[in-house]
Amino acid sequence: MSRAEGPAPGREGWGTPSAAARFGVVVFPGSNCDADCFWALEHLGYRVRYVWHQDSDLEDLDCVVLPGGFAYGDHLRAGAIARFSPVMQAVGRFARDGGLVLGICNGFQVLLEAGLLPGAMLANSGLRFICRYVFLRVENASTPFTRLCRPGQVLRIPIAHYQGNYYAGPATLSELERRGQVVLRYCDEEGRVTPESNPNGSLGGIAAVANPGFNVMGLMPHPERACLAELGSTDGRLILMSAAEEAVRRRRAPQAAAAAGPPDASAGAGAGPAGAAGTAPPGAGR
Amino acid sequence: MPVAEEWRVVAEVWLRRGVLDPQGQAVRGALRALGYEGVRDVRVGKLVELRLCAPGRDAAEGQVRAMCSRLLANPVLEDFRVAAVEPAEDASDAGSAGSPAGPSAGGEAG
Repeated sequence: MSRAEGPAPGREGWGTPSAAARFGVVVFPGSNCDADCFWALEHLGYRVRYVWHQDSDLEDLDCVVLPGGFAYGDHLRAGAIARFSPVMQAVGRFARDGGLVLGICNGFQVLLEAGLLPGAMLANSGLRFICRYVFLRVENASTPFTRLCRPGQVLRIPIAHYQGNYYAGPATLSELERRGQVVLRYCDEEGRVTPESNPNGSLGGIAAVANPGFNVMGLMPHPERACLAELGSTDGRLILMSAAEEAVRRRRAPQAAAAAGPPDASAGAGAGPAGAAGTAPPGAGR
Repeated sequence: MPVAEEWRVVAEVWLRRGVLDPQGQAVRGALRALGYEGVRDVRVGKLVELRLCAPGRDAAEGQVRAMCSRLLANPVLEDFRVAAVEPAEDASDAGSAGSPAGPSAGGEAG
């Protein structure tokens, strides 16, 4: 792959009017998709900077991305130790203030361990690391991270993980389903959710979940790896570009965004019993 | 003021009943393939051994229970149990000391 100076070929065709969106990509010791995320966001035309795991200043950012990798070696459990880093304390405050937080793969695992999203990850049911393209059905197209998708749209984005087998207790799971917090589900090419289309045993084929406020989302697939036709898919752009558009929309109408709560009108805003996530203080129930 | 003593504490972390344990399932399959057809269920957990200073047995156990809640176990899918709290042997004798089933120190070297 060429590492040309200046704008990459085709870059001018990528972006959206949301060029002003400001992203931060967190770098933990052991992150290994940070550069990919940075690259994809930069080529989409957005402003990006790295955020070191010891930093806690996120004031200038619209959206914080927790990239894939093996933060702190994934020792004990994926994300278990990363959760206590200074940057994660800051990400917790950022999320509670309504900032957009996107966790990709290991970043999703960190958000689960931090209690910013409900549930937990088990080892893949086949006990193998899986690295391949999957199909994903957009279950909720009105979140900040899917607003450019159509409801039911089928995306093709790669996964690469060993622990992507999403688990949540029955009460949490039904609450997630009821409130539209299940954002993406593994499916086949036609959008059918079947046992065969589930790569890792994830409960309900869940590939992405959001918090009750919908400003925090985690997904196992890697949108940053699906941003260039030459690499096999451009569907990942929809996720990143959605976040950028939402960021700019919120900046134009900050009060509206703050008061809006869940963008899905059917999911009543306000205090929900859905455990953990979003409004809970750090260290409170996951 | 009680003097802080050194304790050896063992915590076990298990996947909760009802949570599918892919590793346990795989081990069960392997054992049955070896002819152990009576094996009904296998669950694989973690064992964490700590040495810590605390002003008494209860304090040592209490600290480890807190550690389990905060870090060593994930309450969404894991349970924990403090399996042993005992005075730590001399540091020079660290390792398997005090654990009856432990491997003999310095035994088989290759």
